[in-house]
Formats: sequence, structure tokens, C-alpha cells
Amino acid sequence: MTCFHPPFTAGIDVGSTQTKAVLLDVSARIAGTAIIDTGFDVDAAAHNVYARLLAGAGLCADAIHTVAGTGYGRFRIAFGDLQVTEISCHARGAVHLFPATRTVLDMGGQDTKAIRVAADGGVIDFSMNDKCAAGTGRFLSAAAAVLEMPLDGLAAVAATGCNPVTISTTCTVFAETEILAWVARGKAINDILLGAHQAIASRSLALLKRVGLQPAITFTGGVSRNSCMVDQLERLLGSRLQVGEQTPFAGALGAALFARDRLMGLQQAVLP
Amino acid sequence: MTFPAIRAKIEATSLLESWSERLDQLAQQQRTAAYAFVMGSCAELLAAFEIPLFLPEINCLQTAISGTAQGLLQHAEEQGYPSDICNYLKADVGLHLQGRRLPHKRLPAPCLAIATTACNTYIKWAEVWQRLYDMPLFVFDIPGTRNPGHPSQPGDPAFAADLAYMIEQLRDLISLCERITGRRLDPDRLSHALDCTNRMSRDFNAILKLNRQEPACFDAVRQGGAYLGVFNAFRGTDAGVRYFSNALEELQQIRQRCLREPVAEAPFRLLFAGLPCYPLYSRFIRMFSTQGGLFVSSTYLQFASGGGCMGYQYDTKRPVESFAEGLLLTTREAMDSMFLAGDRLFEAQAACRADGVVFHGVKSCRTVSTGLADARLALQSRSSIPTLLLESDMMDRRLISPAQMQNRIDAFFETLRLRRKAGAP
Repeated sequence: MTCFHPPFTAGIDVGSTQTKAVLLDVSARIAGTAIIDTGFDVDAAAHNVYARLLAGAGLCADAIHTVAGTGYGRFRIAFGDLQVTEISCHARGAVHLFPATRTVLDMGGQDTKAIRVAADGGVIDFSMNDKCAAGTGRFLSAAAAVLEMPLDGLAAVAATGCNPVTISTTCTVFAETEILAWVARGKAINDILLGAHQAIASRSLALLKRVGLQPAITFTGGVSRNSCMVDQLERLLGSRLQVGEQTPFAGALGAALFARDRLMGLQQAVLP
Repeated sequence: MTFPAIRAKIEATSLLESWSERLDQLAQQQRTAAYAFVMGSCAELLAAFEIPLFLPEINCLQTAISGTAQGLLQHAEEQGYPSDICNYLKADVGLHLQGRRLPHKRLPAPCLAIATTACNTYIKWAEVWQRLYDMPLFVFDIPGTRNPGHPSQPGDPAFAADLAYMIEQLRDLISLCERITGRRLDPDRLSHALDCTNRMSRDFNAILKLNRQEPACFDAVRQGGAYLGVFNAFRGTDAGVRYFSNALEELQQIRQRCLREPVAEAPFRLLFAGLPCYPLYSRFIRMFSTQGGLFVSSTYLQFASGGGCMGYQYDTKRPVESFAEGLLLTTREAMDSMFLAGDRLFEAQAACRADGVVFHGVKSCRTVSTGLADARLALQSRSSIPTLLLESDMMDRRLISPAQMQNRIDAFFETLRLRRKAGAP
């Protein structure tokens, strides 16, 4: 282990489904990423993803100047130096990845956010799903569970659908019943899954409209890996989304950028 | 953040307790009260007839703050009232179905109900009482603003027609009150009640104007709620006059102290739009105050005072006509502050020099909440001021998610801090 690097900063995004971590060097370049399932033990998830991040980069904890936490479990990161909401972090991370970003759609396991951002990554406005999980990744998890399919395989199957069913319910729990009803009526699995993707995309579009759609739109969060969801959103929006390998890490990246602000002497930028 | 208005808070608590005790005594003596709503309560007329006034909305919000509302809501739901109607109505129905008894007080039965068209739920709600008690219900049809932004004013032919309509309705109500009490209206008593409300309204208006300046001297949601409670329950009374005179004097002293001892970091001045979250009343306000937020103004004070905080002055020399005119102007003002909020919010945030606007929609009050999202968009189209939209309820804890609410509030303050850091005005 080497401990004599210029200082790094780290961001850890403890989400409901997965915990992500990003390491930044002093030039704000991504020096490493890590991702694990969150599980029920939030503290352990934060520790484990951080250990994996450090090991991957060949660093010890002393090399990290500041660790910022975000996500619903941000206050459970005992070794975190600051906490920032995932709303601010996704905005900041998205603009860092794609500087032309003016609107962010973050789709995670338990919530979906539409965020309108300024050129500096500051939040202008945001809107989130309410107490209901419809329109989030949980909707897809429910579909995967009821169809006994791996979550990672949904997009590929859905993309082969030609006659998508209409999932009319706005409730994730009731969606399971509706999917089973379509199965019982003999509908093809790919068409059912395509319908589920379209239902989520439609709800996300409503959220985006609430904040006022401004191009360019960047898609972040775990569901941004789902190519079928990207296709459906682009179809509804009539424009391309900015998506990349790092977009699932946008929250953790934003946190790392806020941590870097502290390193650079800008620590009062966000914190009380 | 600011120096608390301790005297006003203690006096408000004491006055509202005395109001509750009076209602409890009436119930114990098998006597009755007039049930009325805060928008168009006709409190001065009832005071002139010495008919006790009960305001179910205030009673309901008190049950939400004290934690007894949930049982009342449950009781009404068990009787078939659905989950998505006004939860003030539902809690009140639950209360009547369980014999008008709360843990520490009982409530009198109605001898009369007065509703206005300021809220359509008012009418359906009062019809429930009518079914339960077979007593008279009087519904004031208040002419609304027909040309948004340009309401008819005294001197206009349209206003004269509206006023004539109001006077006719008021005369009907006076006749009804005379039948119920067996006595004629005493114009001098009505004049005295109107004079009391004039003074209360003038001081209430002066209190609200104090917060337009910096530094602000009270929280318009926390302390504003106390002012509002007293204004509604004691309008037209000498006790109400004394309260507002003392409250204004106290705030002027607080303001002087704030000027002498300025705080190191100025608070974020916030404008509140919507209804408070009564089941988490103190916690909700703390979610903002602990981050340096201070509500310097609130639209709630406008519509929930029935427009009474606008400072309207009745002409006590012609009490009936002036009462009708005041009822028209103030209740219309209350309606416009809810239904035509877009342009008003732009002016309100500028007047109180707000750093941000917090919209709080409640699931069970569509009258207030339906237009909030549009009002927010209208404001955003004219101003870059940060806004926050929260959704919960004013009665039902099941509709409130504190963790999600806190997360949104945290993000809002992150934005406010970034803007202040960047030199936002």
C-alpha cells in the first residue's frame, strides 16, 4: 500500500439497492470506482465499498483527505466527513460528466428525480416521486421477481418486444398483479416487459416536465445501465439522452466533488 | 434565529384555552353554538347576537397538533368516509360520531351553521351537521373575482351589484339569527364588534408588515399560527383587540432588540405557500429553522384569516352595509390568495425580500393545494428565486413521510447556500 500520493477525495452513495463509491484525484479525475449491493446493513455496505475502492486504487485511508456521503444512508457513514443530498450530488456529478447538462433524470432503486441544473452544477429545481415507488427501479425489480428473471436480463428481453402491453396501474405492488394477469392471458414476456419499461418512462417524463425540460438531458442512477429504458425515454422525449459508463456513479461522483471543494478550501459552499 | 414573542405566545395559548373552556361549559349546560368557518365566519354578527362561535377548522387542527386526530379520522373511515376527502371534515365527522367528546373537553351542538362558497367542502361539511342535528344552515354565496388581477372595486357598477347581493343575503342571515335568539339585531352591538375587528385587523396587518423589513422579528408559520388562532376565535371582541395591541407592541420591542443585537449570519428569508403540516407542526418548522430558514411571510395567514389580515376597516356608522362590503372584500381576498396565487406570489416574495419560496401542498385539501404546482410554475416563469414543493397533509400522519420531507428540505438549503455563496441578492 502506498500512502504518499497527493490527497484524494472520495464520495460514497448509499442507495437503497446498491452502494457506489468514486475516488477523485486533485485534478478532479476519476481515479477509481466501486459498487456493491447495499443489503440490510447500511454501515457495512459503506465500509465494504470504501475498502473495495481503496484496494482497487492501491491506497490506504490516509491518502483520502475528505469522504463525502450521499444517498438515503449518508448519515450512517461513520467515517464520512460531510453529507450532501443525492439531489445536489447527482446534479453536480452529471454536469461534471457532461458539461452541457441542464436537466438530470436520476432513476434509482426507490426514487426517481428530475433535476434542472445550472452550468456550474447547482440545482435550480427538482421534483421527485412521492411516497410511491411507481416509476422507479423498484418497479422493474417487481417485474423481474414476478417473472422469475434476473434483473440484469430484463432490458435485453424487453427490447425484443413488438406489441407492448399497457401497464395501467400507478402502483408498483399492483403492477405485479397486472403483470400476472397479462401472463395468464398469454401475452409474450418480452411484450409485458416492454410495457413495464414504457410505464416507467412515461412517469419519468411527467417528472421531467414538472421541472421544465431543458436540453441536454443526462440520465443517471442505476437504471441508466438499462438500455431498453434509455431507448424508451429517448422515444418519449424525441431526443438523445446523455448516458455513459459512469452515469450510475453520478451521485457518488458529485459527493466526491463536494469533498474536493473542502480539499480546495471551498468547504463552506454547501455545508451549514 | 430571532427573539421569540413569548408574551404573545402565552396570551394566545391562554385565550384559546379559555375559548375551549367556554365551549366545554356550553356543552355541559346542554347549550348550543353557531358553527362557522374561518373564511366568512360572520363572527361580528354572531357577537352582536351573543351567539357563541365554534370554528371546527381550528378545533380540527388542534386535534392534529395534540395527536388525537388519527382516532377521529379512523372513526369516520370506519363509517365509510373515504380516505381522499378533506381530513378536517373527516376528523370533525369522527368527533360528532363519538358524541363531540375529546380527551379534555366536550363541544356544544350547533344551533346554526354558516358556510360560504369560499370552499366547496364547507357546504358539504355543513350539510353533515344539518343531517345530524336538523338545524338551519346558511350558505353565503360570495361573488368571486371575475377578471383575475382586476377585481371589481367600490365605485364600480359590478361591485355595486355584488354588494347589493351580499346585503340581501346578510339581511336573510340577520332574520335567521333574530328567529333563533328571539331578539332584534342591536346595531350598536354590531358596530362595537366591527370596531374591535377594525383594530385587530389594523394591528395584524401592521404585524405582517414588520416582517417585510430586515431583520424579521417573527416566524410567520410558528408565531403566525398563534396570531391566526386568536384573530379567528376572538374577532369582534375586546379581548382580541387587547391581544393584537400587545402583540404588535411586543414585536416592535423585539425588532428594536434585533437591530441592536444583529445575528452573525442572516437567516434565509422564506415565503410559505399553502397549509401547515399540523401533525408535525413544531418538527416541520424546525426542519427549516435548524438550517437557518425563517418564514417571514405566509399565504396561509391571508386565506385562513378570511382576508382579515389585510387591514380592512369597517364603517361602524353603517354597520350592516359595511359588514356586507367587508365580508365580500375580505372573503374574496381569501379566495384570490388561493385561486389566483401565481402573480400574487411574485409580488409577495418581492415585498418580503424572500430568498426562497416553500410550497406545501396537502393531500386532503384540494381547495388550497390544487393550484400550488401551477402557482409555482408561474412564479418560476417570472423569477429565478429557488422554490421547494413539499406534499404531505394537515391532519393525517399516514400521508406524511418525514424522512423524504427532510431530504427535500436539505437539498433546498444546499441550493440556497450555494446561491448565497455565489452572491445572490
